[in-house]
Amino acid sequence: MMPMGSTLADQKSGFRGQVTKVSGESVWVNRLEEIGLIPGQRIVLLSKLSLGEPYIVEYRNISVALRREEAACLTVQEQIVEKEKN
Amino acid sequence: MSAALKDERIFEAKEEELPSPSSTKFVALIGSPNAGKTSVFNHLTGSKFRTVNYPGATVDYSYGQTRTEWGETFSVVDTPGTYSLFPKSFEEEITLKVLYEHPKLGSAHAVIAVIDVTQLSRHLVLVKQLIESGFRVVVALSMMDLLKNAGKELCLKDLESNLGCPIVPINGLNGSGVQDLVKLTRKLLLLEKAESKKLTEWKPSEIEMAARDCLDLEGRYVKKLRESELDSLLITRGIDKFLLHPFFGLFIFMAIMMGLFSSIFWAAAPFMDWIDSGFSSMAEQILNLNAGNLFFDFLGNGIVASMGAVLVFVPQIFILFAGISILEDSGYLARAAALVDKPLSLIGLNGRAFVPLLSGYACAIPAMLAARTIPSRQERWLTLFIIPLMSCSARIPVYGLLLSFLFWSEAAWKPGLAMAGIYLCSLFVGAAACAMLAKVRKFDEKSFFILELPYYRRPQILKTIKTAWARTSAYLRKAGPAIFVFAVIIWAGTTFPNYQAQSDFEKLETSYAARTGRLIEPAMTPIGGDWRTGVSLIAAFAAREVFVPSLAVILNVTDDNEETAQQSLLEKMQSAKRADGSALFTFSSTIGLIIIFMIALQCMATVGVARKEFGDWKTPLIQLVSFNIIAYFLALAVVWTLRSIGFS
Repeated sequence: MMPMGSTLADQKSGFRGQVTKVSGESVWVNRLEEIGLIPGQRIVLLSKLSLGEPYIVEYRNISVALRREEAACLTVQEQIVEKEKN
Repeated sequence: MSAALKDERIFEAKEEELPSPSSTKFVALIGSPNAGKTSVFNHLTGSKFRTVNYPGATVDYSYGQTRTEWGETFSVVDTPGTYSLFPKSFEEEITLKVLYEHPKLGSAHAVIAVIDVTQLSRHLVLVKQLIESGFRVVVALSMMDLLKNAGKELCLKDLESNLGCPIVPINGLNGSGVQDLVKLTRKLLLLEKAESKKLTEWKPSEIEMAARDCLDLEGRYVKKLRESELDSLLITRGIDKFLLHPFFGLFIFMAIMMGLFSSIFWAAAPFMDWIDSGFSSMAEQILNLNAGNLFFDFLGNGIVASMGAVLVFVPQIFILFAGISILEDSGYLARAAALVDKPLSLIGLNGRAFVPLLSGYACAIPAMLAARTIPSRQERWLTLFIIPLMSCSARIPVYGLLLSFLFWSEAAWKPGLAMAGIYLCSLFVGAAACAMLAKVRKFDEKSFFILELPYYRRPQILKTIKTAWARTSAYLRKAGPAIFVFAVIIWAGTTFPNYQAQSDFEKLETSYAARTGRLIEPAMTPIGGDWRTGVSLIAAFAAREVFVPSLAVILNVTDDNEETAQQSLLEKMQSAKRADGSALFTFSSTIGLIIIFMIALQCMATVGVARKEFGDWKTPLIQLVSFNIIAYFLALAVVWTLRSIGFS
């Protein structure tokens, strides 16, 4: 089990899970939510680019590149079994 | 409910019965990035649009009239893509200003919201905000074919009545549906203008709520006919496995950029030669019409030669922007920005600074215009500041001459390698300057990257040509007059007062420019030059490459044969002596000149464009003064060091 409150920034490539909280710098939080990264959203961390950043995240049929500090705004929970649906 | 559907009579009216919409009314085209807004705009207006500058700002938007084949025309304004009505970048602010308070047009009478149906839930949030602000909205729904291919279906009528605004499916490729969109929009224009108000910025909880509502709408109205994923998504995922590979991704990126970069040089070279020799021979013919006549001299050496100086860069700029447009359309450019974001962030920049900086290697002017897409003020400011340090192509003839002098009658790879060294050096200087400036100049704002990576698509040739031409004509309009005016001023400086002199040498030797050259000789001496290098450096303010021909004149090269002219110039450079009898062009003084050309800001057209882009005179003047002073003292330090360790 992953500790509670870990963020997307700490995850490895291939991580699947859902966003549980969006918090941090307000510009980042607003933009992340505007593009649909809201609590409950399922996401996949496709990869991290050559120098460890940006993170490539896929959700709702699109992918988005985020810097590490932006990914750190997304508190996530790993999807272990198909329990919840958003 | 929006007011759009309330007045049923208007919607039932026949085309012919409608009065003509007033000419001051305009429709704003709004949409998230990658929603297909530009292709809707192109279908609406055909080729009848122009790119205009937002008054007082530096963001371009397109303004056009709908095509006449669709009946009564109306004005449409295309705006920079935005995710919400709460702007987070300079460009997004312009979208909002066009919508609410355009200084010439007022506020939009109606809004066409372009949304991608495969991204329905995300893009609907913006539509909701537009409706809540009170605008009359018609939704243009793109990518319907993709939805169908993925085995999904949209209950359009239900969504329409839920939103309370009309929805028109359109096809961005063939333009089907655009005619219906025009008809509906024209009807909205006949309704009284609705009161629109600016929304107060939503709190995260409100954004979340709207996002959830829109997710819910998508769930309700998009029916899954079978379980399958979007083809485009699968293809994109497959390609990204290679292009965004943690290891190979960077190599592929470098290969693509090397390809684009080298094509600026070899593919453009024949066209540049053609323009160059065309204008030279035209100037010559004009001079021959009436040799020694001042007016014909002005026409030939002043006007025609300066026009050549402006036009010679057109092939490079066109090829560069055609290449960038292909990369952008295909979807790779967003990935390229992501790939270089990390290294650029180390010197205080953003991945989005990549295209402007790359363009700077062709010409600083279109590069500065390209910097408008950088959302953060600080990063845009930094990018604009260091663009003149990128080695633009006007410096190539100068480096070419100086390197062939340094490596005279040596193996050809040596000057080639030295040229690559100069490029690396200038890259390093730019990066160092940027890193230092980032520490000094801080804006009170948080930088962000958050970049959507669109699906890969096949680029369209016609669109590529259009975009490249738009950029090239922007260069001609912005840089042309400035380069031209300065070229004419330098012509006057090198011609007067002794314009009736027998030879070009005598004319230049006694000109105002030469007097200025002698005036600055005390400054030239420490870096190994004299008044003649001074004159040529002054002439380079018309355009950097003018350094070469003016050096030829001042050293009295009389060889008119193009093949051997360079050879005789090199011989003259070899034998030129300073007043004290020492050689004028030595190893150290030539290196000193290379350093000056690497750093100095000699291009007045760039300064003019920089003034517009920075929005003030102060910053470009600081650029002008500091770059030139630093160039001089760095050259001085290097010349002095080289001499003290035993180089001539």
